[in-house]
Amino acid sequence: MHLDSAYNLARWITRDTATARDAVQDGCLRAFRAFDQMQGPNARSWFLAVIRNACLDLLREQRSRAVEEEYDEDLHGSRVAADGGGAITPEDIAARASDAQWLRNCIDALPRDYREVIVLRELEELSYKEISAIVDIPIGTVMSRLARGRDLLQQRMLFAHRRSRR
Amino acid sequence: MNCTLALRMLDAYIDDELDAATAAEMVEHISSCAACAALHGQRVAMRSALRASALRHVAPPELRQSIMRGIERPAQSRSPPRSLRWWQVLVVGGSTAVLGALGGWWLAQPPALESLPEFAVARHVASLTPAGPRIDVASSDRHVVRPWFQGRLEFAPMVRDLSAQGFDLLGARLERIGDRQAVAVVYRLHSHVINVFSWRGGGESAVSEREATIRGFNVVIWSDRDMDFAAVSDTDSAELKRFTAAYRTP
Repeated sequence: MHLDSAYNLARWITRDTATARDAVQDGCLRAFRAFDQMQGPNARSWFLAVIRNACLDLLREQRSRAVEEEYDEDLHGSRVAADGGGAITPEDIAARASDAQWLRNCIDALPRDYREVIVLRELEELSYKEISAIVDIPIGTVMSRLARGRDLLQQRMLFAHRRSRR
Repeated sequence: MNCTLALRMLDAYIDDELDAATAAEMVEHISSCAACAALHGQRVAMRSALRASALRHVAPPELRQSIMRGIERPAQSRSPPRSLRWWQVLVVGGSTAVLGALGGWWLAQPPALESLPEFAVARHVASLTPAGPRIDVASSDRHVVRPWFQGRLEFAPMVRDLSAQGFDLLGARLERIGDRQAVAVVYRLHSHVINVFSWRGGGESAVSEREATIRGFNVVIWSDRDMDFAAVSDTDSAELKRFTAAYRTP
């Protein structure tokens, strides 16, 4: 059922239950109006693209009230590979993997560009081609955003992990 | 393959987006390079952590309901007076197009059994135009209607001559119910259009006959061997049952 995918994407993009709900409502109405385009094997990608646009429109409206929190790269460091010997190990990740809320917070802390491709790839399990259609970026950009996003996420997990040990 | 290239390909590799030859080079490189193997291990660990921990948000049930209501409301508020003028027909046509679009959206989903009457009603409404019901092959002769589907459909539709019972055959058209190919055979009783949808059910949705009324349309659903059927009309439920009984009689 695409509605779950729609809501999942909207919830991760907007990071808010009520906004996600509004975005899905708006998106569904838009999708119904443009039903003719919604045929064929790409129906899901198309529908999710409509939902995503509804999310961005709502967020744009809300931005007059609040500025979306930006990920602070200086604080959290950059590429994992450049971090040297203290890099996170698979065991570190596994140790906390069962803590869903902790993982959610780590993903929520990512900038939207990276958050959405990670959600589409890891939670919706879509192909690069589908993600490229939904986010409206070239496939090469999907790949580089996923790489960068995963680096940031790993870094974030390490950061949160270390902090929790103190 | 060197490490620079391997690191650039790492994400595409774990996402299964590399061609077979490049993927084979990756396997080889990872098995011989400890540093790249460590990064690969982190990626794999992160993926299993993300996928193992139910991170997906599920749409609340009331959201689903309110989306359905939001689509229905414009149609209801424009319910037509008893005698229709041509422009009123267009207005009703427009609002039913919204319902039809909703139906189409539902139909893009695999049909769940409990929502089948909704699907069928939506497709029925979508087929109604001011010029009459949508038909691909218009004929009152079932020997004309049935062969038209040869080569267009994976099964032979059931088309019966029910004129003796008062149901005039208007024709038939290709349809979809969810991801399945379907046929709608169209009959008329007085001024009421009856759509009989049929599609290959695959057995899992075998139900005995059941009825529903949705937004003023009556629906009868049944299965026969490997085929599923749904008859929809705005005629009253007794007449629709009479139709169904006639249609089902070999």
